[in-house]
Amino acid sequence: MPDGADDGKKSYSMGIDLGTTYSCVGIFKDGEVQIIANDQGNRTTPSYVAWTDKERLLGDAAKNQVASNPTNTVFDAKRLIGRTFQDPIVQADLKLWPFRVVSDGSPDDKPLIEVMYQDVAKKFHPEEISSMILTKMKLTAEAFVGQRVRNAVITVPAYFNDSQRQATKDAGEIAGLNVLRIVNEPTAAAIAYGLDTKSKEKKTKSGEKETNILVFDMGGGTFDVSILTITDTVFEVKATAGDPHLGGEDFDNRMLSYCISEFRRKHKSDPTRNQRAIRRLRTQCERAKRQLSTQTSVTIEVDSLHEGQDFNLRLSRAKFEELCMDYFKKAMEPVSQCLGDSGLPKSQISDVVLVGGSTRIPKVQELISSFFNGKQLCKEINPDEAVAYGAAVQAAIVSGTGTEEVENMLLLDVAPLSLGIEMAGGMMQKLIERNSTIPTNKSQDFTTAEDYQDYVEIKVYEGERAMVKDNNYLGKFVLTGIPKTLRGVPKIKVTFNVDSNGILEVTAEDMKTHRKGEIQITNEKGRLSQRDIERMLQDAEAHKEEDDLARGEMMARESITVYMRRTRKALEDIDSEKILKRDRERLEKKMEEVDLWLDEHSNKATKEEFEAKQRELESAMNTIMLKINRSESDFWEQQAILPENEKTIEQGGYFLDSGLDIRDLIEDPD
Amino acid sequence: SFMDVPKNSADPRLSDVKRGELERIRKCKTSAEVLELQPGATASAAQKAFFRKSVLVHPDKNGFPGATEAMKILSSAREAAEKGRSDQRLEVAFDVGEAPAELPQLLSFR
Repeated sequence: MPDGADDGKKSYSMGIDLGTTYSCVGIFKDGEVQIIANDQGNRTTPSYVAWTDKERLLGDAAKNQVASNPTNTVFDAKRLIGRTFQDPIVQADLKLWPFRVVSDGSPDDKPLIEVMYQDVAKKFHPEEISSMILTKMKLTAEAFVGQRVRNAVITVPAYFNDSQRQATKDAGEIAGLNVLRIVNEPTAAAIAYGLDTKSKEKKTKSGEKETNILVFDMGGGTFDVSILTITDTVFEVKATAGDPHLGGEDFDNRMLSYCISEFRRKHKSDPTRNQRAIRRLRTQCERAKRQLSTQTSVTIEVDSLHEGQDFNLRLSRAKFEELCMDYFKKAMEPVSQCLGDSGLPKSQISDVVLVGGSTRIPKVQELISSFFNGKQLCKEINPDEAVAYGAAVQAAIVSGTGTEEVENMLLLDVAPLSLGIEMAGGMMQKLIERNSTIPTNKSQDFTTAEDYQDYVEIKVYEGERAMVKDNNYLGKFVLTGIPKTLRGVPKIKVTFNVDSNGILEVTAEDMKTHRKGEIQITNEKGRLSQRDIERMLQDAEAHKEEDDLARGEMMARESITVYMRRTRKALEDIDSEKILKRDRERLEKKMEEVDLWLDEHSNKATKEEFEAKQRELESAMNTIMLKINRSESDFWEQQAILPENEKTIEQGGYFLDSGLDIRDLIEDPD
Repeated sequence: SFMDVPKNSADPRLSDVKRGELERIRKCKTSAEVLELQPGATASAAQKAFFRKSVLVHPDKNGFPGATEAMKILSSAREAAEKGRSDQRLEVAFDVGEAPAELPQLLSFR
């Protein structure tokens, strides 16, 4: 790709870290990664969606109103995505969520999230909730580069299974994104680390130096460990392990349970059913947890928590550690598994890189450090942004929009789980071992188990257990037309193909007749059908219109309010001799009328009504302005001296105080 | 409107070097040939060769249709070579294919 001379037409690709609790977006621009702040100025956005009586809220706006609207504020979609309703993890989480989750009643047993919106119960798939968060991230990126951005790399925990990856990809499609790649979170973080170290070591000659690093990624909901070898510009994942359900939220829940039991003990009353109380308490627990990373004790306080009783509790860091110790210890298991899988001794790991907010917890750091015999940990990279940073780099790599430095980088990722088929007796026969570099293919010959068997059923699974019933079922197909003969005679070649997106394709061929059967593991169990996705895409687009409408109204309201202020100021500034008393009174009356109208209608008026009202006011104002002698110090002329692109709305230009161009907001970016 | 996509020849993923590497691998018979290893090369030499070749062959870096298959062969060759079996015969069958008119990721709207 030539360097950025053709900036105006350059298309951008973004990297999105779609987190359980927070999401982050980055974009490769002008030769470097920019992590983009949202409209609230925050570089991470809560993965929250809420429905109020009037509108749908995303991100900070949704999280900020959670206490007052707990049942219609949805979060944790990542803990539901790609799982069934009966999944024990879903069943356990259900008890902690203030929003309702039900089964779709189909044989697939997909979970649905139910909220009330304008007095109607609405149900959403977790993919739809995630797509809304992705839309928010997309808008954030678009506001930054000032053009449409469709191409995206989305990250998932390395230990996500096939269904969860596919579902995440579907969420991207529903959000109208072109998902270039699903990348593992620790791998993305490793890129951030690699670039950071590289830039610091520029002086060392670029020999084929080999470094092994371990990425410890513990976020709000998931936990991953990966070991990578970095050789010059090639990043190769050696092994990966983790727990798709372990993170900061689990610690919050522990604290919450403890607080509830303390409240019960003190006040002899149970706040468990009081959603608002639980939400308020949870928010305070989360805050206390963060503070305990830097302080040794905190006070958790909530006024009038339940039945008029205040809650007040002093919590020490030691107590917090005691409450969560089993989780912390559990996190060390994948570390040793990953190390074992990589075949590397501890001493060969030259850096342990910490990623994810939960790695700020001192006890977590202490445990990892002592696991590596007191090793100094790498905290150079920003734990909240590293994943999005790496995803943005990978987006630049695969879309060829990067610089020369990125141009030479290559990421070799692995299949996180073994892939295989069911054998007679329910045994799992692995064809692709976990941690195999992708793309890859493996073939193996099989035969029939019974005499005169003329068909075979190929059932595909992923997982490490010996029996398929303990692994994750991915799909099946039947190969028919096998010539009838004694068992053990037919030769059936089964081939597993995994492409660089981790998408699996399985074929079976009878070597005598060369009849073939195949399946691409895409629309299978627990996944949305293509028709579902298309319907949701349409729903999302319908919602977009609704949102755009709301945004149009908001802007029109903003515009008339600003015009009112402007008129008032102009009226003050005009010399009293220059304006007829009668005119002034007429204008003041008009403004009073508009003020009253706004008080009454500002919540229900349409964009057109706002605009009509503004035109009324404008024409009243213009009539008067025409009468005023222009040679005198005219307010409007004074303003005209300012260059057009610096004028705020107050000065007759187009810019809001925040620097946003009002025309951008009103006009459809398409 | 389409953005001004640089002509395919300018896309590094479709360079002559990238095409040449696929053509070369296509004619190989053993892992040692694929990785261009000397007789008796160590596992570490095999890994280094694998990385060097990956940058040319991996579908992220090589836009020709045959890249994915070539990458799989490269992985198999490395596996064999690291186990000291680099002289064993390797099944190599794929087509390099024609350079796509436009690489999908670059096909974007304003």
